[in-house]
This record gives sequence, structure tokens and C-alpha cells, in this order.
Amino acid sequence: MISPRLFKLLLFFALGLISLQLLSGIWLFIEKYGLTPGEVYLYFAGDEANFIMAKSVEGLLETAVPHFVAVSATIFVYAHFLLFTKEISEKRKQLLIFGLFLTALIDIFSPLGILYGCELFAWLKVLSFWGFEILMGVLLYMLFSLYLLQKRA
Amino acid sequence: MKFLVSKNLHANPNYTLLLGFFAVMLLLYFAGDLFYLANFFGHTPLAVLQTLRGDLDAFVEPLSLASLLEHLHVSLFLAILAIFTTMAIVLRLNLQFRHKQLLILVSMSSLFLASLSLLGTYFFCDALVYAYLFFTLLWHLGASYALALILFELWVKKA
Repeated sequence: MISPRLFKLLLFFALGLISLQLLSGIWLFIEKYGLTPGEVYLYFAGDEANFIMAKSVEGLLETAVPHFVAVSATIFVYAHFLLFTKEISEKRKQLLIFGLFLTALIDIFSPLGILYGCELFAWLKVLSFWGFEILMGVLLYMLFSLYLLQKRA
Repeated sequence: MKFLVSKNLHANPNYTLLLGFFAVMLLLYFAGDLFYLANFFGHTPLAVLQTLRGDLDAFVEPLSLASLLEHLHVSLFLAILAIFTTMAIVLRLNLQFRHKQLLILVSMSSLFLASLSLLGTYFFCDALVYAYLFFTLLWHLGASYALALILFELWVKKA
């Protein structure tokens, strides 16, 4: 039998560490790409007037490919804790999991659209990135309140 | 936590073999990560500061914020995954409550503090480099010790 106190301790640190990792991702996004869709578009598509080189497909894949594993593993590891609780309806759980994977996929693929000159994809990149971060925040908050705040989980 | 099929680590010989080699690979990751960090940042406080701040005399450019964040983002992810799975197995070991509690507390809090002190060294204070080196060494040692205990229970102690 696993001690519930040890389980809670492990989950507490796991939530803290992944929050730090997500924050580093947000910071990196702002530092590298900027905050607005215009800045994001310029980062990927380049701008001759400002001597910004357009990114290559190889460069995009170098970032995108590891993210397929990393993002899916993170969602899987953390969201699987939702399966053990009945306090959230099945529909909400499904909506959250679907939303996480959908926003992650749009976030990963949208730079390819920007590279082919469509500015709309810069908007999609920004919206999906923030959507993913917000949904991850919701998931972590749910786990925190379900397993660490309540006496019976 | 349902990372493992069974709560009994000796449920099946193949399971023991599988978990054992998984632990060996993670042990190699923790050891390799220390070498990688020593190579990337340096293994002395002065070398780490030189990497972060640069050194005009030695023609070393300062590390850009984007590079630092990229490093933190990737290494933290790998470390979380490795340490989380290690501690999930630790929960199933035949150890005293306090022993397990200390292992989780020391390893995971040091990983957290190592990341924060690296950022602190970059932005605020050179003295935090000592905290960075100390906590980095501590979480690697804590996690490696946990894996050594797992291997001992799986392959030496038997059921």
C-alpha cells in the first residue's frame, strides 16, 4: 500500500516542477518570438529590411519534432491523474484533454503556415500557445485542489 | 499512481528485469547529465560564472537569455520525467516512511532550487552560483541513490 502522504508529497513537487517548466516555456516564447502575432510572424517569416532571416523548414522541425514527444508525455503523465477522480464530470475531463492536445498540435504546426507566407498562422500560433498554457494551468490547478487541498482524494 | 502495472516489484521475473534495466538507463542519464552540465556550464563556480557572464580576455561571449531559457526548458523537462518515474518506483520499495520521504524531499526540492538558483545567478547575484552547484549535485546524487536502492531491491535482495 502506497502511503497517501508520500503520494501527496511527490505530486506536490511534480506540480511545482512542471509549473516552473511551463513558466520557462512562456518566458522563452516571449523572449524568442515576442508577444504579438506581428512579432511572431517576423520571427519565422523573416524581414529583409531589419536583416531578420526567415527560418528554414529544418530549423522548424528541430523544435517541432521533440515537442511531439515532450508535450504528449507531459499531458499524458499529468492528465492521467484525472482518471482516478469522480469529482469532475467525464465530459469536462474529455474536453480538457481534447483541448490540450488540439492547442498543442496547432501550436506545433502553425510555424509551417507562417513560413509559407500566411500571416493568419501567426495569430493561430499565439492563440494556441496561450490556450495550451491556460489549459495546462487549469489541469494543474485541478490536480492541486483535488489531491492536495482536499482531505479525501 | 498507476505508473506501474503491479504494486509488487517482484510480481514477475520479466517485470523485475524490465524495471531493473529501466533503472540502469536512468542511472546513466543522471550520471551523463552531470557530465553534460559540467561540460556546458563548467564544474567550478568561476567556470559557471564565465559561461553565464562571458569573459572578454578569454574571448567567451556571455550566454544569451534565450540560450539559458532553452537549456532550462529542455533539461528541466527531462529531469522531471526521470525523477518523477524514479520516485514513483521508490514509493513501492520496502523502506521506512522517513527514508522515502527524505529521498523525495531532497531530490525534488533540490532540482527545483537548482533551477531557481541558476536563474538567480544569471539575473541577480554571483554568490548564488554556489547554491546552483550544490543543489545540482544534490539532486543528481539523491536520484542516483534512489536508483541504487531500487536496483538493490530488484536484483540483490529479491522477494
